[in-house]
Amino acid sequence: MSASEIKQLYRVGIVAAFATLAFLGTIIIRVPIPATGGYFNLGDTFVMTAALLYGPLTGALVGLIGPAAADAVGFPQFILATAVVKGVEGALLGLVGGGKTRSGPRVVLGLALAVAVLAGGYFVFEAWIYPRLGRTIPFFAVTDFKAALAEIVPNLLQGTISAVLAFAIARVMGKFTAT
Amino acid sequence: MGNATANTMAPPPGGSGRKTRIALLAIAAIPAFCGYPLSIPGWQVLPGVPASWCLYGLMVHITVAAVCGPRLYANIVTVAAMIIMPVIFSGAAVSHLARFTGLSRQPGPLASVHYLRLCLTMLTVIPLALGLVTGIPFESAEQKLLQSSRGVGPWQKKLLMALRVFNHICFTVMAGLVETVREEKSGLLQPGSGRLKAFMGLMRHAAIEGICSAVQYIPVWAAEIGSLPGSPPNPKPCSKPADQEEK
Repeated sequence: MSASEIKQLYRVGIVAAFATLAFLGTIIIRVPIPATGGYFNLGDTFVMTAALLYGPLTGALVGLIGPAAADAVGFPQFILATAVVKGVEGALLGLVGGGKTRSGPRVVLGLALAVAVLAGGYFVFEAWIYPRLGRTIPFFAVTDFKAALAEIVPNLLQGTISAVLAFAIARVMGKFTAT
Repeated sequence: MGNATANTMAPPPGGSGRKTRIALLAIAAIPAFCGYPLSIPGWQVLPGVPASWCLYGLMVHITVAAVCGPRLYANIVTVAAMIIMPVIFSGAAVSHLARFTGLSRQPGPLASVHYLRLCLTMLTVIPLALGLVTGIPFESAEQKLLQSSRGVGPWQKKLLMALRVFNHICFTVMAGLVETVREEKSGLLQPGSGRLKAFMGLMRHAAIEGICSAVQYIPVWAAEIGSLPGSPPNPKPCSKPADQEEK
């Protein structure tokens, strides 16, 4: 039994825990957005908290696994967009404001970037990528430019609420783990 | 999802037909997850509600009921309804409010069709997903990995860790969180602007408790699983014996 093996297992456990929490947080609170057929949820809180507490790799993996698994239950056409957008969101937040480099201004900057990635990423997928994919695979023909535009405000709101909650949780958890 | 829910969602005993069951449900899920042939325009039950989706939904429910048994099927439909109802009704309410306040110009009947289709899709996809998930033997998979006579390989250890954390959160942590929300919900009933503050406070409290309970045993489990005997390295049948190599 080596220390590095235990460290690896610990990391796997943390990713599994936050991915499961993000999955449950996404499927328990769902408010649909009429224009696009998508929905508002608070699963991002756990992706952002994981990125802030444990860094970019954990944040990216949690974003990639948890919310995408939740999309499989009811909204399978959004799995691709969710996995990419939330993976990038977790990685970027972890790089800028997460892990050991955590400091007030960097955390706020990281959270702002994460919210921008969330809203911008879904916009790019729904306005350009999905309509193009939908021409060959009808499964993806669920959105267009107009619908993507209508989803920017709900996504910004979802991201901001999740960021505020993640900031508060990370502060409390940071103190908790330090003592 | 507490222990009681976990028990009622447990699959029927007998693992011999488990693979067949998962295979049947996976085959039934193909049209829902690829869109063919459901997206091909055809006869519609209502304007915007294709008959293909209705027939497919019916077929899925018959398959899930036949494969999972009546008791598990009843529980699956109950859980599916609990997930679907808030989505459909809150979505319709948001849609109505948007139209009422002038934020949306979408006509009422279009919104109704949208929610009918959403309800139909969710009524089809959620029971399928739940049927598949309850077919995966999470609890026996852990025991099987632990009892392996050839030791536990590095990837198996990681899988074991992920399985243990997933089971712990779904069946232990969630039960505790439900209790916390029940105890703290009185703050949400207070009048005025305190409601939003109470909601955010409750969400933060629930999330912190959820995270703390979810991660508290991970260091202990990492040490425990790390100490399991590893699998021996693969023998190399093509390698020559030491005395031959010397020659």
